[in-house]
Amino acid sequence: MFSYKTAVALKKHGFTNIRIYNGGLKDWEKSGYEIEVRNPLPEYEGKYMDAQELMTLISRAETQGCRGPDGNPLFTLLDYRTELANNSGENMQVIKTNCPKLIMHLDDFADPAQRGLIPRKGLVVLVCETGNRDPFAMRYLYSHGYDNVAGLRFGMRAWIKADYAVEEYH
Amino acid sequence: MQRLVWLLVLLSLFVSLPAFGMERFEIVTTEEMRTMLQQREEGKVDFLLVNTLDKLLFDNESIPGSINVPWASVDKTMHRLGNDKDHPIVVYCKGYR
Repeated sequence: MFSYKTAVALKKHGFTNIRIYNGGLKDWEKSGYEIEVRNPLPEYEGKYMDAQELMTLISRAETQGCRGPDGNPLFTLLDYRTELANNSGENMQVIKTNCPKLIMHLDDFADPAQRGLIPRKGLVVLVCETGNRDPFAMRYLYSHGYDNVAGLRFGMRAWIKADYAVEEYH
Repeated sequence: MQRLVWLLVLLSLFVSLPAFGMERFEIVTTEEMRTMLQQREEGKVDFLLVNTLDKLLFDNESIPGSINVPWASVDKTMHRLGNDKDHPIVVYCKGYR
């Protein structure tokens, strides 16, 4: 998906000779070919929740005003879908909740100021397109001391498939 | 009235179809990719291999000889491709499966 969308963007910018290696890293690695590692992420087994669990969490948290007795957020949604963070998806839908929601790029996690917005208290639930990037996002955040993060299994795709509440993001 | 409904349906199709227009690109297989990289090393072909994932993912793993132009920041990183817009480019990400 990322390769196709980049190819489309480059073509729009006038590049004329673009091909796509469809198998990507998965097929390359599966074929036993060499992988280059510049800055490895630490090993970390992250936590995951499915759409139904998140729906239950949202409902429960909203009845409590989204904050625990200590004033910390009960949970925060961290939506790092690229099109959403780029604001290139017109009228994109996000998970509906009154509880705190952060929207940023995955690479923003490397910026201390942006990363500082991610709470260290309460559960942080990652939302990406399909959940594919969550293991890497969790490994990166773990390397910066975050162990309060969980991924939404199969990402926003699962939420929409379950037909749970969404709202438009402008 | 029925004619008007059909007219509206046809009109809505005409308006919405371009939104489904898909750009088509030539696909490179894993074996072709391997051969192309070998030939590039031998100076027989020249192309840019572009990893389109976020930098955090590119740093964690990439195909040797790639440059990083993340989809998230194409506009900011496109200069890495140089000025020759006809230069062959192969883009990849994590993969479809």
